Amino acid sequence: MLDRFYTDITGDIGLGAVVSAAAVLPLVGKSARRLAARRLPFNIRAKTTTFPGISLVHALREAMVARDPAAACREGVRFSNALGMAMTRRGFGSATHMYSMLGECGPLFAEGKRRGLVTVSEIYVPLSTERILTEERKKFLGWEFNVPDYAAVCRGFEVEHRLSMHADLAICPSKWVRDDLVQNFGLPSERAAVVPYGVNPELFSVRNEPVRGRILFAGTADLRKGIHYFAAAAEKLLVRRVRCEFRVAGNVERSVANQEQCRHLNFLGRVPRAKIRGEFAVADVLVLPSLAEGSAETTYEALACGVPVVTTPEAGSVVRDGIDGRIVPSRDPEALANAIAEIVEDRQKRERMSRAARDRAHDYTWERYGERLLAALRQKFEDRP
Amino acid sequence: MKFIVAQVGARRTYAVPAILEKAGMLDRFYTDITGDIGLGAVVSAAAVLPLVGKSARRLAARRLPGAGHSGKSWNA
Repeated sequence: MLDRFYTDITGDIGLGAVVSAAAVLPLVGKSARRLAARRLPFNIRAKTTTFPGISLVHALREAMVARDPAAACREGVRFSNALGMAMTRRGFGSATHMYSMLGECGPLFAEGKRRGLVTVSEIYVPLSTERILTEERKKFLGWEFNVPDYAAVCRGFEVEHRLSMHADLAICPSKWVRDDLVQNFGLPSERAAVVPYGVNPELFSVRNEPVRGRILFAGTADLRKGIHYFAAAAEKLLVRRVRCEFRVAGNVERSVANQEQCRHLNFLGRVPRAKIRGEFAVADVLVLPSLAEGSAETTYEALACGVPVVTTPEAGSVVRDGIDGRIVPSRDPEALANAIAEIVEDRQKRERMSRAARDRAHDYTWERYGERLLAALRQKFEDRP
Repeated sequence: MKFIVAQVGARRTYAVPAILEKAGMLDRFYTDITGDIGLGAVVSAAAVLPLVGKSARRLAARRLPGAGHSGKSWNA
């Protein structure tokens, strides 16, 4: 008896179906809010070109392969390559130099090089990272699953390692990254400059009132950041009856959190930027026993908040051993535990380190980063066009 | 010395292009998408619209009777 039915909108036909499908996409809600937070500094808006079409297609494709790490990795590489091609089509203007991040947007980098532009690549993570992690995963089976073979994924694309080696200057955030490039990849040392990162000066206002023995690990709880050595050090300290609480602020996979070895760790999950300040405000020590970092920004943040740092050379930090923290060998839970105990149990030393940490951080603001970056570029290229 | 900077994402809140521009050394900046210009601004504006998220899920739950539809309905 129905001839026709008129209604405003439904979730299963026409445009309504399209919109309701979006309810399950990552772009909607949280991701849209994340995108909204990406604000350009006002001074570069007029010179900025974005590629939202490619980016939104990438967001959709990424959502479709979210449960397949290898496919997600391949999609990331495809996206970077597609962006590079689109950027190349937009041209090079009157640029004489090009700055890219670890060979991202490879086709742009390659074409710029072909046209004779001077190229700068920022190597924000050591190129040996994949090799280091492959070896570590073999030693710690069961901690990380479904890890894509990055080298295999990259075949056929103009990406990272290969392009970075052709850069006229590699900007490295730490000596550790530069040494890796020079020693393991044959980059001439005169083509690498160390420019440490900076810290938001707002963190200087955080008042550190430490809870004795409150040990903070900030960052993704994975093998790269040495969560397994942190867990082993925690065990040693508890056996020695050094009273501590081990707090882990960062994403964690179930395969890590469920490890028997991690039973003494308190996993907080991802802590929003605003709340991590609260963690720093009461932390006694920040511990980051990383195996491969460019220059871990959490170490700068801890210093700025007056929290002594125990870390490894591979974290690429600006921490000075014995002054504002301790630098211990990587993969050494005994040394890690000793360093933590040394600070927790000697309150005067802890206080001295706290003061030194803040002083140190004042020399590593983003303003100082800018000065160091420009100095490195001018020193290298001042005689070139 | 004039730079073209390419970067994916808002790494360090766009510090590198901003520093180069301040020094008079930026020619152009290419990035994937930002929340304040072009289509990215439109999409990010959707973050505060009621259609997004909860309302989109409510809409998804609005199903016409039966697995398909009769061909007699029109969305205005």
